[in-house]
Amino acid sequence: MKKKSIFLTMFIGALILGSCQKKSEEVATPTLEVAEHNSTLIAKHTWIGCGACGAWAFEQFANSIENNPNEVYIAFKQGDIGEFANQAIYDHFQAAFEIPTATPTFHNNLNADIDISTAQSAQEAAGVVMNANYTMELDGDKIKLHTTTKFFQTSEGRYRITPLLIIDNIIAPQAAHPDTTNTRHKKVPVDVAAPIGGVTEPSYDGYLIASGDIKAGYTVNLECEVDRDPSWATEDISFAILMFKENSDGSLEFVNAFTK
Amino acid sequence: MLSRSKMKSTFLTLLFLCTFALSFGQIEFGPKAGYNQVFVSFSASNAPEVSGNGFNSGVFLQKDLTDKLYVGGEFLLSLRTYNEELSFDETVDNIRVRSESFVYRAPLYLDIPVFVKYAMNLSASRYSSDKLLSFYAGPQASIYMTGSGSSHETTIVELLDQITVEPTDVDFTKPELKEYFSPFHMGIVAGVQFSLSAGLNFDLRVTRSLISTNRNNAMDEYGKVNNTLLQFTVGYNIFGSKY
Repeated sequence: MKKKSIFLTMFIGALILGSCQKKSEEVATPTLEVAEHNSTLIAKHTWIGCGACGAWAFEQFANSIENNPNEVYIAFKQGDIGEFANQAIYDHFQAAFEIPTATPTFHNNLNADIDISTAQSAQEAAGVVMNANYTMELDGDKIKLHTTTKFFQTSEGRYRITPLLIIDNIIAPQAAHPDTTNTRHKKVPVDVAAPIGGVTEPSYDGYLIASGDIKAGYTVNLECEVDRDPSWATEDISFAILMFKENSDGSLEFVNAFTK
Repeated sequence: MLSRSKMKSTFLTLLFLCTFALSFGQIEFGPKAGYNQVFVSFSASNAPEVSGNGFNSGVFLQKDLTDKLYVGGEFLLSLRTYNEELSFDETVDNIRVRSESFVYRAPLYLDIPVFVKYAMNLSASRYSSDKLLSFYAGPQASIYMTGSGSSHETTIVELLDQITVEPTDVDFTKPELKEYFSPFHMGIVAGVQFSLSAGLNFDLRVTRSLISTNRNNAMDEYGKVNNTLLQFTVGYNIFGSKY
């Protein structure tokens, strides 16, 4: 009996002494789910004083939104639509991506030389390098933006995200549009959110979120904020998270875009 | 170093000789169980030494060849659990990325040591036996039976005065573990045993794997893996000669 007890005690003791899995003591930060998905950025450069922009181009952009609802849309707008930063954003992206100066100009993934299907095919061939997700919170005269960006492929280099504030239904003039001075402008970028904390100035080139050798699964949050105009209805506010790879000469290469 | 197939054939020859020897005369047989302390080493120079533990239980067989020389063998189920810890810390362009990775592995082996034992009686007390103290050594075959394992990695990214902590948990499946662990490996065993006249014996041994315990095509970040095992067991001779 005594011997049996010794064996039993040893067996149980060995079981208890068996190693358990160690875990990190760091507490996880809230992170959003990010889908392994590419979206095409379908955009146009347009001007409120341009007749073609208010006629066929306005309709073409609206039709494109209807026909490809799962893509990301931006109407880079030239002209005064309410003292927003739309003109500065227009100028920046036109210069950075060599978009032709004539309006209207349609371009896909910030490349004026390819059509939508070519842009989609190129992204499909490359696979999903990275994607993002966001939630936003309206806080008085500020909009707080919580972003999560995730890499799905092992990558190398410098990667940036630009969280452009997009407003729908801005009432402003549009030449040659039937609604003339009361035209509802869709998908207009009016500002860029900046990281909370004030360590970085707002930048249309975005913010560096990964650099060096990047493992698949690398996930990073970035909390940003931007001013809110009281005239904007909640349902008209959204963000387009543009994702870029920064080349060695400082130029940006479009990788992916996300909105909701 | 001997190849895996040569080791296998040498071991089988020894096992046959032991079985042959055991077939003549009285067999000592009994259960034994105990504790494993595992020391895991990796071939990569930057790899840390890790340790773990587990338990073992099984049966032993033994037969005397002369009054001081014995041959024996065992069948032991032996669990070796350990955590591999990997860490990473790099800052590029003011983005600091740290990661802490804990890979837990718990393989269960059937260990079959075969050894030659030299015994001596050092005490005249009434509890001592003719084999109070014995030393032994021999080869050991280890067959991977089953196992469990998981990985817990936490990545911490610091940029623009903001921090992201992202844990990733992965439970390894049985086929993944089977792909990782070598199905069979050889080692050498050496130890010392105290045997009491009542049939109880206490055994302390060291086993070292001679070939890697992970498969060649499944090398982890630190390369080939070898185990050193420190085992303490208690056994009881249930029939055959009492010492």
